[in-house]
Amino acid sequence: MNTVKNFSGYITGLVIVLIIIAVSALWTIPELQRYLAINQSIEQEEQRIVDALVPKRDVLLAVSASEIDVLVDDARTAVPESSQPIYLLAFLEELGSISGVEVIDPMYVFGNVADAGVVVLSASIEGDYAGTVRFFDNLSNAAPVFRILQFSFYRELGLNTSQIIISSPFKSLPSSLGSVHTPVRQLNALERQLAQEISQRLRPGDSTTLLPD
Amino acid sequence: MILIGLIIFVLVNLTVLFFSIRAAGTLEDVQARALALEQEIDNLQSVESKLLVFREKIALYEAFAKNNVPIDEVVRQLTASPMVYLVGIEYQDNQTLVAHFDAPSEASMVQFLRQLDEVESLRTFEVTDVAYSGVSRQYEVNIRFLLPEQEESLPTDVPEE
Repeated sequence: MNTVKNFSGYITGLVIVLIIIAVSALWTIPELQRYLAINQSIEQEEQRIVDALVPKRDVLLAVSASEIDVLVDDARTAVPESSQPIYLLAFLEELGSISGVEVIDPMYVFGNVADAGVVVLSASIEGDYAGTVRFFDNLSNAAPVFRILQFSFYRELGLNTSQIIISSPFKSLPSSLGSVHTPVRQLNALERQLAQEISQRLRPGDSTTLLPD
Repeated sequence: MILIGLIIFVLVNLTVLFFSIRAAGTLEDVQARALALEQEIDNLQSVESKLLVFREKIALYEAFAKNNVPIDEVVRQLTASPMVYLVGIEYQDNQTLVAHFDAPSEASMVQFLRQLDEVESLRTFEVTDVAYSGVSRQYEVNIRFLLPEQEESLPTDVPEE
C-alpha cells in the first residue's frame, strides 16, 4: 500500500510533465510562431503604407484635377490618339490662310507610317516673303506638333515657292492606366516646361496657363 | 515544486495568448488602414490615368519638338542681309541644308558669312562648307543643324517608297 502511495506522487508528476510537453508542442509553440508571423505581416503592411500608399495618395491629392484636365487636353491636341490626316491637312491649309500664303496640293503621303505613330503630309507653299516666313513660324509653333522631313524654298521674281514634307505624331491611349500598386510621381520641372510650351502653342500670349511649381 | 512549475507554465501560455490576440488586433487595424488608403487611391484613379496619358504624350512631343529644324529662323537669317540674295534652300532630313546665294562679289559673300557667324542663332546651326559654281554663278552654302541626339522613342517617320 505504501509502495502505491509512493509511486502515485511520481505518476502525478510524470502526467503533469507530459501534459506540459503536449501543450507546448501542440499549442504554445505554434501560437508563438503565429504571433511572430503576424508581427512580420504588421511590419510589412506598415512599411507598404509608409513607402507606397501614403506617398502615392499624397501625390495624387496634390495634383489639381482642373490643372491635369487642361494639361491632358493640351497634350492630346499636340499628340492626338489616332492618325488624323484629314484634320491635319485642313489645319495646314488654315495655317496657310492665317499666314497669307497659298497652300497648294496638300497631300497625305501614304506608306507604312501608321504603325510608326506618325502621319506624313506634303504641300507646296506660294506667297510673298513675309507670308512665307510667317507660315514657317506658325508651322514651327503649331499644335499638333509638326516635324520637317524635307523642305525647299526658292525665290524668283518676288514669288516665294516652298515644298515641304512634314510629319506629325500620334499616340494611342495606354492599354494599362495604372493601379493601386503602381508607383506615381509628381510632375517634374521638365514636364511642366513642356506643358507650358504646348499651352503657348495653343494659346499664344496667354500667361494664365503658367503652371505653379 | 511541480505546482510552481505548472503555474509558471500556465502564466507563460496566457502571456503568449494575450500577445497573440493583441497582434491579431493590430494586424486588423493596419490592414484596415491600408485598405482605406487603397480605396482613397482608387478614388483618385482618374487623376493617375490622366498623369499617365499626359506623360506618354509629352514624351513623344518632346522627341518631336526637340528634333525639329528651325526653318523659320534659318530663312530669316539667310535673307537678312542686303549684301547677298538667297535664291533657294534645300533640306533633306539629314540635318544638312544647302542654300544657294547670288552675290555681287566674293567680298560681299565673305562679309555675309562673317555676319552669319556672329549671329546668336548659330547655336542651332553652323556653316560647314561654301562653294562657288561658275556655271550658275551662285554660291552654295552647306549648313548643319545642331540638334540634340534623337530620342530612341522617336518613331521612324521617313515614309517607305
